[in-house]
Amino acid sequence: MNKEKVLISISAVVVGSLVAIGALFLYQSTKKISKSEVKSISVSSPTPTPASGLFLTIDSPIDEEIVETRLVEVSGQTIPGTKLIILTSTDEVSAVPTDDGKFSTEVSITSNENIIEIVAIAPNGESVRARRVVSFTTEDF
Amino acid sequence: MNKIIITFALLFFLIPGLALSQAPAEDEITDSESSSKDKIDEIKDKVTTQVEKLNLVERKGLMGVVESVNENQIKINDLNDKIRIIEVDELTKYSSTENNSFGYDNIEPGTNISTLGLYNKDSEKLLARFLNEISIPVFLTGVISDVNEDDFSITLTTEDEINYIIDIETITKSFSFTDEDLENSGFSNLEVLQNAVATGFPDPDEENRISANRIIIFPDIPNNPRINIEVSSPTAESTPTPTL
Repeated sequence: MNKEKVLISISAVVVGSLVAIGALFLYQSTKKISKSEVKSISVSSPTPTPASGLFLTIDSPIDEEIVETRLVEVSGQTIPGTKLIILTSTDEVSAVPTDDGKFSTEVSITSNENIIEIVAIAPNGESVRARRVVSFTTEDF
Repeated sequence: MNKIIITFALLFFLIPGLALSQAPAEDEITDSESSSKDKIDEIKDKVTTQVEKLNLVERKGLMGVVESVNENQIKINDLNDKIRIIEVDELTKYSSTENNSFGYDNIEPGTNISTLGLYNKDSEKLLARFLNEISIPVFLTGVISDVNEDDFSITLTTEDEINYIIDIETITKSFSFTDEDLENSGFSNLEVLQNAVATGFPDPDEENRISANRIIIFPDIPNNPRINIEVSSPTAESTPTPTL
């Protein structure tokens, strides 16, 4: 009789477990994840290497920017070995980029509107230029 | 035997029930999730609206030549050849170095102006707070194609194949970019086929003639290969092959 009880108990546990596993499997398979819960992972492509040849990018100042100081930082990147001239109506500054082509210098501006002209001349004579309009004012508006 | 059957039945129903009770009811999840999502979305909308309002207007300074003037709205062609719209109102302040009584009525097509104001990113219009009549300086980069010692002028040819006559005045500052520095220079140092950068103001009487206030030469760098210059009578011994 005891042996019979044990066997029946074991079989009941096994059958019950199987049913529980089946029920869990059904529950998981019917569960839907909404789109808002899905986290998207994007892998950005690496910054493209500038094409060969002369180029000039200006990081600062931003075109049409209003500043509150008369000294404006001019920074950017070009090819190494280039000679740079930064011109405003009252100032002229020369610069040469570092080995990685980056440069940073300061140029003075006048009140109100200013054109900052940046000219880069490569060792082979080719030139490229960039222009920024920067205005100086301390007026609050 | 009945006890065995009851035990078996209890185990059969209880074990799956216990397993499933570990997972919360789907309806409960859906309700609580949806209510919290609604709240999050509502907060997000409010934040986005406020951020948009804050970033919609920014201070900017524009410069250009007036194209048209119409009912408190001025269209200018900016330095990048782009049409920009400027709006003026009763708070706009006007000024000019040439005309003390300069005002809205003095603005006409061809007037050079600069303006500071509030730029609306949405409408892409600038509400002018300060509007000035200005002279826009000229910045030229090119190769010297002629040196005229008689009238102290040079001809500068640019990459777009335009020849500009640059008058070297007594006030013109001349520099030579050697090594890493600018050194003072003079008219006698200007030579054909040198790269040069010149700044100044246009001659009102003659097109493509500039009165220079600065000229910078680059004697250590060969002339720009993208600028073709024909030199009829080379004067300097170091001048390379005439036709490039």
